[in-house]
Amino acid sequence: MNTPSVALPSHFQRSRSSLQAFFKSWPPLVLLSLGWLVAMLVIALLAQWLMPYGFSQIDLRARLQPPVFLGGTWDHLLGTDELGRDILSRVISAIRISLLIAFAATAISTMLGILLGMLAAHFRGWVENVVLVLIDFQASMPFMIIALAVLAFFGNSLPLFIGLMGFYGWERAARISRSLTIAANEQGYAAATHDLGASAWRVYGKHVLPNIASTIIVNVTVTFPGVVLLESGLSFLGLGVQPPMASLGNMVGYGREYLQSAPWILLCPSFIIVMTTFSMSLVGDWLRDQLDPSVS
Amino acid sequence: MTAPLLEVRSLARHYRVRSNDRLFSRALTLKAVSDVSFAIHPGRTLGLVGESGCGKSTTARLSLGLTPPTAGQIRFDGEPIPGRRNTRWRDLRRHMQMVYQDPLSVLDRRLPVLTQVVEPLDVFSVGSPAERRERARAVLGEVGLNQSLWDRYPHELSGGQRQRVVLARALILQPRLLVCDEPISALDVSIQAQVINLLQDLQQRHSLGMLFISHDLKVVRQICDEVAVMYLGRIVEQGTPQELFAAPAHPYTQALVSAIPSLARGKGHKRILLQGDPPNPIDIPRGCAFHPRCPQATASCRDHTPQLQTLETGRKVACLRLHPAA
Amino acid sequence: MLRYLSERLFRLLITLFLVLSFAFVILRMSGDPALIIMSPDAPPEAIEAFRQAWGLDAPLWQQYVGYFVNLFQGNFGASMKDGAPAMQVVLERIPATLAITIPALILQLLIGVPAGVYAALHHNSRIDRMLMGFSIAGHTCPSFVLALLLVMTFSVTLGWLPTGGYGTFQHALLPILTLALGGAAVLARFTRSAMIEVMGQPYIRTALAKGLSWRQVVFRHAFPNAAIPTVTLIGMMVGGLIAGAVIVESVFSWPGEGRLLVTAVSSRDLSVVQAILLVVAACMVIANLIVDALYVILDPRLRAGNRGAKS
Repeated sequence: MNTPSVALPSHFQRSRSSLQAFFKSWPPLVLLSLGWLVAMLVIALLAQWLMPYGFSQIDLRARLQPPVFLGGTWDHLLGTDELGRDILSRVISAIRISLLIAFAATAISTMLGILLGMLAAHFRGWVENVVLVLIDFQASMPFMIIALAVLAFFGNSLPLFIGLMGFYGWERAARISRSLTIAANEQGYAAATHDLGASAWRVYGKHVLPNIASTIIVNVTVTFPGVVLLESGLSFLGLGVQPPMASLGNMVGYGREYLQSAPWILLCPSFIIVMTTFSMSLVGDWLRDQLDPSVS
Repeated sequence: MTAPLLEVRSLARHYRVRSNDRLFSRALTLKAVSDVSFAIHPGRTLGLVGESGCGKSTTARLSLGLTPPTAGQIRFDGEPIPGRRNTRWRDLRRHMQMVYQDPLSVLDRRLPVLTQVVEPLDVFSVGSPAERRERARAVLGEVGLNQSLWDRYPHELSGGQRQRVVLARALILQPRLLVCDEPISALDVSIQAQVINLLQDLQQRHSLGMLFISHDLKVVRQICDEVAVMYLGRIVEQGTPQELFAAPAHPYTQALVSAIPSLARGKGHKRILLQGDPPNPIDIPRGCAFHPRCPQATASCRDHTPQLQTLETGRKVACLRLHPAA
Repeated sequence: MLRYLSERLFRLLITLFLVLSFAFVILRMSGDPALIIMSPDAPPEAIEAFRQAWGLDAPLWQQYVGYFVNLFQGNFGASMKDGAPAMQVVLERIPATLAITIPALILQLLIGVPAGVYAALHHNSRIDRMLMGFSIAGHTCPSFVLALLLVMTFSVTLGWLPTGGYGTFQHALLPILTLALGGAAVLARFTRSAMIEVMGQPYIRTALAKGLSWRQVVFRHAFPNAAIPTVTLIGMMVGGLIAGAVIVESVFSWPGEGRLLVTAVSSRDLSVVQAILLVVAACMVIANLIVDALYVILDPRLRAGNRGAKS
């Protein structure tokens, strides 16, 4: 009979296994990603109080200073650009703008998609055909091209730009909500509830929508980074967010000239973009795995 | 005899369909139900049997007004049922409900079963929320669902338990007519017997009229007071189960009955095998719909469509052999 | 099979028609192009003359019909800046864009597909996780960031390749690489999940039980079946390449369609924008048709027509 080796005190063992269990259901990478996203959200909300300087505050005596970890001063943690503007403040302001656009556009796109998808599934017939043609149209052209055409013709004031971004990806949400609603309607709980006398509003609001919510949420985690990438791409080209407003994309655009002399001007916003889209995609993948096979 | 609860006359339901998915395809007519008439009385059960595609489920939906008929009349308590879902139609829901084949798909995965049984009362705003929950608990007790399961989700229950939930939800408004569309087909055989007993119990207690749809003749024999056999959208024979199964008159019924596995019959029993293609409601044969497969078909069966006529015994048959065309 | 394809063609033509109508609508909705192009203090007669020259004073439906008539006649208007025919300006740049997008497409397939297959075969191993990590990084990284990083590494630091411009193979290398990496990432993920799903099918187990080697199973059974859904991705990839070209050509000063579009948008050269829209729409239609044809060739269920597919 083997004598057990020195056993750890029971409470120590318990906490070790519960920590392991914790990390099994919340992988560390996912936690980090969630943390990053929360941090970005906080920065966006508290931007005004976090910025050490104004984002367009020019200080020509402090031009092109490197960040503190590359030999600069603590006055400007992330360095300054060619006009002496503090990069940190500009980044904070840019995060606010870019996140605002991304959230608003994702919300618009998702709601538009759900609405059209459900209308198509509910009415069938010509309504469905119209929606399907619209979905086809949206999916047939790369959205960047459509966006550029609209920007050419209409200009790019901020509300218009947000509205335009709101058309990104609605066809995915529409496809999802249409097929799930059709499935729910055909001999399913939706049909049964409707058959016992409930109104269509009740059926869709209380039954169908909560049931498709999880798939829609996963779709949101795909749309959001897409909007961020699209907006930053357009801003990079000078066609998106216009100066004096700073967006992550247009900061990279301005920093391009100083690629060799002051690379931090474009590296900081680039890093933020990459980390944000990466985190959202990772969380989205993890969410999709959690919800499939469907757990109520 | 008491006035019928539900009365349908010359009911028909036809669909326009395309022959395939292409852009320019022929428009065809799918005749799901043609010229169906029957009556259901309080406390009595009418069974509808037939193979897949014969129109049983469509008839069920037509009886409840869930699908508008292409032709014919449906009357509940003497009053016609509206074809559209207007206020009167909604009011009628309190008197007539449906029990479905697959309980899992007709229950919302996300809500506990008690909430779902309460829902009909929410829809019709009956009583206060507390009273509704009380009623729901009472009905769940009546269908025999254990109290510990009332707050569970549908996928946490067994098939038989789920079907009890569906029954409870159908009964909570105290309907007088219950339409059961293959309510036990998806259940294990041992559970089927329990649910059948429960249905009979409930029928007796509440004087429910029932339309019971099934493809399983043994169950129908047990629970129904009258049986109607459907083929390609028409009733071909109707009578009491004891008589119908003992001496089927229509060739189709004879084939169905001979196919029932039974220990009582000897090894020499020959099953009647039907020839020909399975029935297709888009392409219904001329004359008697059954004639291509009928072992007793004659030349006139191709030209004349038999009507459902009553024999002296009370049996109804639609067959030209027994009623040569007038 | 011909019926299927002609139907798809019909649907695509409808989409093309919608794109063109869309272009017309936004052109007319965006306000008076005359006021946009000419300065605000130009004399009213000059503005009116401009309007007449461009047919902007006719009723709307007439303009719509005239628009399509012009398109059919090959008249796409002229670049509002220098008067050169818009379509000519656009067509001139096509070879430059093709010079980077076609190699990028090939490179995407060469990198993405084997990576996806390999990851699927070593499902849940370290290599799989690493490859998928790279893949997520690849498709979440904006193309301009990737482009700038490549420039910083290969041009500035290492000095191997030029930072931009047109002419030699060295000039084309970085643009091609930037375009290819993003799409390869998406392709790898998709191929991986298609392969995993196929490998889980019973017929794969049967093939192995029959005695076929892994290599035979993968190449004869698994991969061809996984390729079918992957083919539909090619349509999306073409769209992604066109969108990517816009940014990549701008970063590398590569004189293709993308760069032309950006300059046309900045200067509000509406005819050129419209012409590019048309060309892109036509490209997408052709790409989708090729994908549909490939789909029919690869999937025997479609070759047999709808017989048996519908009950």
